[in-house]
Amino acid sequence: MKHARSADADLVVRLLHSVADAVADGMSTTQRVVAGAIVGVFALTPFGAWDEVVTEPEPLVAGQEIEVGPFELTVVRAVVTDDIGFLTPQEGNRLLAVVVDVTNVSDRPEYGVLLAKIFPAPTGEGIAPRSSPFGESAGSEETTEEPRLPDPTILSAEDGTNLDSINPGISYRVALVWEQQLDQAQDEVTLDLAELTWIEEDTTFGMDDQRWFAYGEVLYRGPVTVEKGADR
Amino acid sequence: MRHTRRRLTWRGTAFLVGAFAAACTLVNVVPHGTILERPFVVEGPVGETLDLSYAELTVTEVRTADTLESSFEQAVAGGTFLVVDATWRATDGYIVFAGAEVIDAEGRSFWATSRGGCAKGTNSQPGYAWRATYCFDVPRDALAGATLRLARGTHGEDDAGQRRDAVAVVDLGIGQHDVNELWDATEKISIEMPGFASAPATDAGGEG
Repeated sequence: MKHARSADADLVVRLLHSVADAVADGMSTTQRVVAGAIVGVFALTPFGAWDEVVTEPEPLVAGQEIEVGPFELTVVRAVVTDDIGFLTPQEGNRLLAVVVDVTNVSDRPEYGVLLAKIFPAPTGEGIAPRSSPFGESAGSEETTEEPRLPDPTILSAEDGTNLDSINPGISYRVALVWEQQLDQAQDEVTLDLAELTWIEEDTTFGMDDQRWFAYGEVLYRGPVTVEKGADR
Repeated sequence: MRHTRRRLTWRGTAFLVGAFAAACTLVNVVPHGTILERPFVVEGPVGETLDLSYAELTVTEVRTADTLESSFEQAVAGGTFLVVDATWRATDGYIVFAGAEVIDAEGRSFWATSRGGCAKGTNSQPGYAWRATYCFDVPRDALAGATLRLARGTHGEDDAGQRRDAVAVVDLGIGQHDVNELWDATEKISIEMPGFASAPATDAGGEG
């Protein structure tokens, strides 16, 4: 004699079978496959089938070499100072420089500003927002959203000159410089490094082929100790 | 009176579709990069005046340095600076000379830098010779067999700015045996801003 429980299960199976029969009856094979796939996806819903894929960034460790896009990068340290090269901060601000060893390991030259795509301004660290030539901070008065943070200025840490391009096989010690509000200064700064994706053929309106592009996905994240004084 | 109702004939449709397909095939099959859009390359050694149809170009000197110096900044090389002096003489009106790169023996490209007061590009009017100093930060293995590529068109993607236009390719004359000497050079070179040239490309004597 069958167990009561299995008899119940049997009934459910039989019921589902007859429902499936009734629905699938008269469907073509293609329709059945498609319907089956849809049912399958819905069946996975409680297990997170519709959840956004979230990739956790890897930990960023100062002194450790990593590869992003065409560059090998080593974040050396972060430094706060009052002037670097030709840069001086506005009153009440100071300069925050992230010092990075950079080597172009690809076989084509890149603009120095590509580094700004890898290193977006750290958020919540009091980076001074982009200022407009008209005095007030950028953006209209009504906007309540966070002001856009500026890209860093890319300098050679060695001599303070503007690093316009980085040729293949060449290494520089680079300073990525932001202006930081003095009252927000902390002993540590959390850096996000964005991933670069190679666009071989641009199918968007830009039609700008063969370049690195940052979609904004964070590849590495980690704290870097902020030192005071010396500028290299 | 006779009505011709069927304006769309099978034969006509087939002809149109066929012609369209043939045109698409032609566009795809013809090698743009290597034939249709190829720049006109004018080659020569250092010291020779090259005729680019829109300008005459003479590369006068090739040096290396670890440090560049100008009136406003000093730049230290990541590799070594290949410093090239060139003289332009525009023949076709006002011209912006935008393209400047070094190509090594492997075909890698190296861009000019504006660090240390160097010219990444320059511009001039016809009627005089105009001197500019270009600097390229290059690694050691790029020196032997390096060539200089100067033009009015920019390099850009696939040399897009130089399609169907004259480009000067100058062999810098660096052999394998010169590499050690050039790489070890610890000189500091003072870079002059672009200006009027008196020497080679001038035959009528410019402004001085």
